Amino acid sequence: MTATASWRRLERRLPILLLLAFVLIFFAFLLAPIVFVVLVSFGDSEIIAFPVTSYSLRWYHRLLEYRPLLDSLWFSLKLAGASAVLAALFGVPAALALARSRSGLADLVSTVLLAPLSIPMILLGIALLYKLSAIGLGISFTSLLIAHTVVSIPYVVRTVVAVYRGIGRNYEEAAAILGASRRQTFTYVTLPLIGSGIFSGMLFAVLISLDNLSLSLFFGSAQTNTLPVVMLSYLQNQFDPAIAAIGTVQMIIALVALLLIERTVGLKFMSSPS
Amino acid sequence: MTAAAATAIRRSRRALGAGLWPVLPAMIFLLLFFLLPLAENGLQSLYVPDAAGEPVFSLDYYVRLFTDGYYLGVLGRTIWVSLLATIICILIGYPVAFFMVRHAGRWNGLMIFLLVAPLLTSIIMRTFGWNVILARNGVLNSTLMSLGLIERPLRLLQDPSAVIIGLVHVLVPFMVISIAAVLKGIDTRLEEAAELLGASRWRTFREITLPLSLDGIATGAIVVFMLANGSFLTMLLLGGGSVVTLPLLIYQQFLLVQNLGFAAAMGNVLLVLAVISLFLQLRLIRRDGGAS
Amino acid sequence: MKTLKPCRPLLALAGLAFTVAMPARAADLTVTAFGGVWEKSLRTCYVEPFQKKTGKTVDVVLGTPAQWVNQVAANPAKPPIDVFLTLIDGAEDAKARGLVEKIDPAKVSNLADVPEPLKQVVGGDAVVLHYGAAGLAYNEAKIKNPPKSWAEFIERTLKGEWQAALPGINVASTTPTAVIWNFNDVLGGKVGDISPVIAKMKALRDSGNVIFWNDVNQFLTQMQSGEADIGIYWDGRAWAARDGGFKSLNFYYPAPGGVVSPTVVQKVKNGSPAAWEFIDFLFSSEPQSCWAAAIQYPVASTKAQYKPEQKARMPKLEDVRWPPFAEIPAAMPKWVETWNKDIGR
Repeated sequence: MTATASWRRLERRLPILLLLAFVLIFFAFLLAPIVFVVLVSFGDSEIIAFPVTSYSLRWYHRLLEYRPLLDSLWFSLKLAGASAVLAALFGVPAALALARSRSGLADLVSTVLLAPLSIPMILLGIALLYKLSAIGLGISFTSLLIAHTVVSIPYVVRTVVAVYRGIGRNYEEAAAILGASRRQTFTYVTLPLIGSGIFSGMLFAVLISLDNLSLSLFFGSAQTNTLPVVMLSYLQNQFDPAIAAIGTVQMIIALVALLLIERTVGLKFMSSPS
Repeated sequence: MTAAAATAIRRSRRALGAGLWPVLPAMIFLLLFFLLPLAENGLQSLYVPDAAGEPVFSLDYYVRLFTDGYYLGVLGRTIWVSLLATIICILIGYPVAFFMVRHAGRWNGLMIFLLVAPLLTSIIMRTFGWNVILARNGVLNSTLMSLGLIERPLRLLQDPSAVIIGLVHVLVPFMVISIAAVLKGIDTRLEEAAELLGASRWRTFREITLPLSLDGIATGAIVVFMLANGSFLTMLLLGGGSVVTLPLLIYQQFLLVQNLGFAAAMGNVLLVLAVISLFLQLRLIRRDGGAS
Repeated sequence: MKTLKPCRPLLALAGLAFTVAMPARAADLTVTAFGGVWEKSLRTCYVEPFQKKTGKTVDVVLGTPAQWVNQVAANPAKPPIDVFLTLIDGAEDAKARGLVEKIDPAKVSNLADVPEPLKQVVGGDAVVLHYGAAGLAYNEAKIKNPPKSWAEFIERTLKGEWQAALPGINVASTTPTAVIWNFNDVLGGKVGDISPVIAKMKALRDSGNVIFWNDVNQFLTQMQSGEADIGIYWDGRAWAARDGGFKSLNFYYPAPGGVVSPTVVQKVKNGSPAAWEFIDFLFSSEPQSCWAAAIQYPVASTKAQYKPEQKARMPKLEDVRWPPFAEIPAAMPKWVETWNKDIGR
């Protein structure tokens, strides 16, 4: 092997190595503040403080003992899941129609469908509280579900439109030529192709719902407590590592859920089929 | 092309999006539970309490928002902060998304987890984490000082830079995932063909990959810009009030002053601004990156 | 709906989600609480003994005052809440919107044991359940000779003797009273004219010796990370942090006294009449003693018992200063706008 040949190989690899270094630095930045949160959750102290001097699982015991945090997490997960599914049911057909439409109305419709992104949640929450109370839905799971679906629709619509427009018509037209029915084309061609769009849209919907204090606040009751509301209320009067522990539990749930999706659905949502 | 194939294509085009009717369920849902309630609430902004406390019709709130230099400044700052956060997210997010789709392989799932993990901790705890790192005698300052890079601790908290760091931190995952979703759909054979034809990698990226993924950047930009535009807790907790934006003032009117009319007026201004920029952006994408 | 067909299972799922019964009011009575220790102690000290005694069921709803007031305002005929346990600014808001009833001493016989000033809050539409007061919390390791008075605190901060942490304008229930009214009062200003405090705050901000906190827990983080050495804080929280392991944190009320923050009880209009029975129970001596021991604040009933170490720390009713709570809401729009424009933190 000559010196020039190995130089060429390095030259060939250099961009990828630089990219890898960049990605590693990126994740260091992303995880830096979270590392301390996780560390603190295993601390033994009564208050949140760093450095952690001695470690214990007492704050995880506390979660089992003080039920509202875990109960509301479970409630929030159900709400997030249900609103993401509803948003997909409303959003995916709309997105497919919009992506290929040449109608002049399309931009206007898209704007309306994306508009819930642009209003501060507090105002939407207040407006919905009074509206839904007036029509008798009041403070209930249904009201929460409606509110969360409203803000989830834009994510699904936007991500699916983007992905669907990127893949072009060729595949579907090929399927049609080969005699596939519309339904077959949709199920076996379109749906898998836009999978990454639906997945990311629903993922956004779940993340936004789980963290949505300003909207959930107005629909909280003894039966409909979401995690952000309970955490806010908890933090009013104490600042202990239980809040760090519940965050860590949430991360573990996310990890398990993503692994399950990968194993069962078998979809690599975000990597090129190679 | 045979006549049968042509009919089949026509049929598939008609089925898959010639008509706009599939948007109806979503439109009706949002009409009922978004536009109507918001319009009713928005009307409050046109009524200002008089001396006796009775609401009377008045454009006073809007006049104040558009003539008082303070509020105009806040409005400008709101847009500027969101724009800056969006641009930084694009610059940081694109390479990560590219790596994730093309090189991560079986680490893909782990990367998604690492991306969403920070979003699953409460903002209060994230603020605590940043405090440990960025404080006067925090991790970052003491590292820099022991390396001899700085002599005096940098003031990183309570500062606009902390707000931008905090915003980018929670919003960049949305950018990465938006771009990755579109990159995944791009046919890699196009890139391979270009390289076979002798194009350099950089040229292939610039002329094939980047244009095809513009729609993903646009999605990420819309989501990040809008989320930044609506957030106030990051400004409040990391900026120590050094960055005041419109959502923060809305929150104040709601929590401190209980003046929902003024809050609604500010919300309407923000909404109109956001909707206009949304509409323009959608127009732009359709013209440029538009349907293949 | 051709394109929807493959989604049928999903549709069914969504339908199921929609039909999940909207819970009718599950209990005879609904009361509000903050989370954590508060809620836990509310259950053990008040709710459980009350349920045992009367056979009535009580639901506790967690959250914050702005949430509760709007929930009742949206459903005034059938309020989802019967008793507010809330902070005084939330109580003033509820009164202003006509959502609560006057506290009727005839229906709450235990009020006989409550000192008169605690019954005259919010124009008689509320009674104080317990109270805390704002003072100065400081790091003993850093400050040996803390300021004796609020005025001294301001002057020595200006001189740069320490880094001080003050609440920003967005900390409801704290900044308007503990900073704006308190400093303004010390500096000789009136509710209608806060220029004295604004001028001083400007100087403080420009001195570079002050940082602001915008969440009650952020103060503790700032003190522990060394960003700040001293600052305005609440007694109960400061003691809890010290007892919880922040050993160098000390707390006191500078002259002419701490600034009171009462937690009050209100009866919601059109709510269950059983609310009166519950409110009366709240003020009986045994539950009040239990509550005082749990949350470490002085309670309303003069018959309540305290542990000696708690008694030593407690602010005496005659030593705390009462901001003009009733006048503050009307002044707030101007206060907030002036603060935003001139100080902007």
